[in-house]
Amino acid sequence: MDNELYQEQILDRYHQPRHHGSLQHPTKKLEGANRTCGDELTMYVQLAGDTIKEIRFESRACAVCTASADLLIDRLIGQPVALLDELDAADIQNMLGLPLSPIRLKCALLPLETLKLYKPSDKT
Amino acid sequence: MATDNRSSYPLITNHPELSYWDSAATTPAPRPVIEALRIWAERHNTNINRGHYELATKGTDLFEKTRDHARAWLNAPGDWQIIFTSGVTAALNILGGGLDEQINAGDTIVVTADAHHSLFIPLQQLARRRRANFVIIDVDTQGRLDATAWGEAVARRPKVVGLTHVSNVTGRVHDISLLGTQAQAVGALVLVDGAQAVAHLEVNLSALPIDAYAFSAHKMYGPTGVGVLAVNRRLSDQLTPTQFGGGMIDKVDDLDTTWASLPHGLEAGTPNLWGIAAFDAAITWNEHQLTDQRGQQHQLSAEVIRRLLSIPDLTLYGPTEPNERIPLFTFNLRGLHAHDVGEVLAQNGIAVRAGKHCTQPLHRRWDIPATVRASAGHYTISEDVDRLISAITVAQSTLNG
Repeated sequence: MDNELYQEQILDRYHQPRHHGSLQHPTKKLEGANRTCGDELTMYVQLAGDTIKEIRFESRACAVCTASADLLIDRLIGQPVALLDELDAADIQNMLGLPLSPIRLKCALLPLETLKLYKPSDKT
Repeated sequence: MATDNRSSYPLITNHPELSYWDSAATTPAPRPVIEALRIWAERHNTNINRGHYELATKGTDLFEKTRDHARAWLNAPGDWQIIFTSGVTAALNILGGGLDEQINAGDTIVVTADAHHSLFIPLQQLARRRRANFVIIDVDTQGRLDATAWGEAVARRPKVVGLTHVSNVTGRVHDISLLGTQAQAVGALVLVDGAQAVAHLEVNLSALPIDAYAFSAHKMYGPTGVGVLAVNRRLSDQLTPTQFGGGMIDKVDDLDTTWASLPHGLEAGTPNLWGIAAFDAAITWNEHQLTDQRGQQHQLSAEVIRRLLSIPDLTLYGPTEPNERIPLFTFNLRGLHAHDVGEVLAQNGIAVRAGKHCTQPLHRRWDIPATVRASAGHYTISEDVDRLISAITVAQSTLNG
């Protein structure tokens, strides 16, 4: 049976995320959580100048959050870090293309909100 | 299994598409409770304790009769106070906020790790304000207290001990008699959160060695916005009010005020009159409809536990013995996040809760980000069990892709 929310792409990225893991010497390590529902994320960002070279993430999170993180990283690698300021909830919704209730939207937005914690003046 | 009691609950019969497994969050009201609310509003609603007119006197009378009714239902001894609050959270905050003057730096306050935030945080903040030691007793995934840690905590002669009668995560019924005896023996004030207990167990305050018991109406088939704080004389003598206003005062000078005697001294403002009228009907409902349910509940628990444990890759938290728990079942499916499981269950018409259930300290100790909780009520029938089990299997296959 086809599930509107749990489509193949979401489940694929959930069970086999492409960008899972950590970085030895990241430019910045960022942590985020949705405490009510129990999503936990750690994101490792590697910059080369102002360009995002690599991002990896560790998570104990739901399928929506995990897939959102993995797809978002696809989008960000090789892009200027300033792109983080431009992306918003609508972009995440479009990226996922899923019918998201307000509660699940919170899950989907957690990776972006975690990355937005990065400030250029920060050093690890 | 049980007779079909669903027809008494309009919310349940209005939603036949839903299998409601979230009684621990809130219970639906039976028809008499809804009627009591309507009758109060249509025939009795005046403010209490003030008016000279007959309607007001009668309203006050009915209000105080509900207080007596609660006292009788709990079998509270004569020198206990029954205080109306807006719910169990407000009741526990009255305790946490009202004990400041009794706690000194270096004193010890004890709580168990399965405490709901509404008990945990008031005591934590009391300890912080007064520079007291805050000791948390570990609870394992079966819901058992760490007995060694408990013994060590008691040996420190704590001033205050916060206990949870029934855990809203593990469903385990704790031995409040034993724990209360041990704590009171070293002089501790024993405060008990009864939110998950009152709809499932008989609570006999005359037989419990404790100082306070709190619960909410909306978890025992009553309305939201009403709770009870029952306190004995020893504790009530030590509590200072933290909510000020009308109804709780004696004399108001320019620079200071004296308080009314209890219970009014801890009941600032106009109470939830409509809610308390409905609460009275809820107590009656519990007395008459639910007294024999313990046996049925064990049967239900046994059936659910048996069927949950036969699902591969399912972990059930709390006791596997039905008579050690209420019919509340918290679980996880291996490799799947509780939130996704909850979502697929919802897609299949099953109402459960997924998350930390207001117990971050407990979930942190278990190192589990979230759990799924299914909790039964008086209206739960065997068809509900079939639907729940079937939906869990669907969730497994859907989410494993």
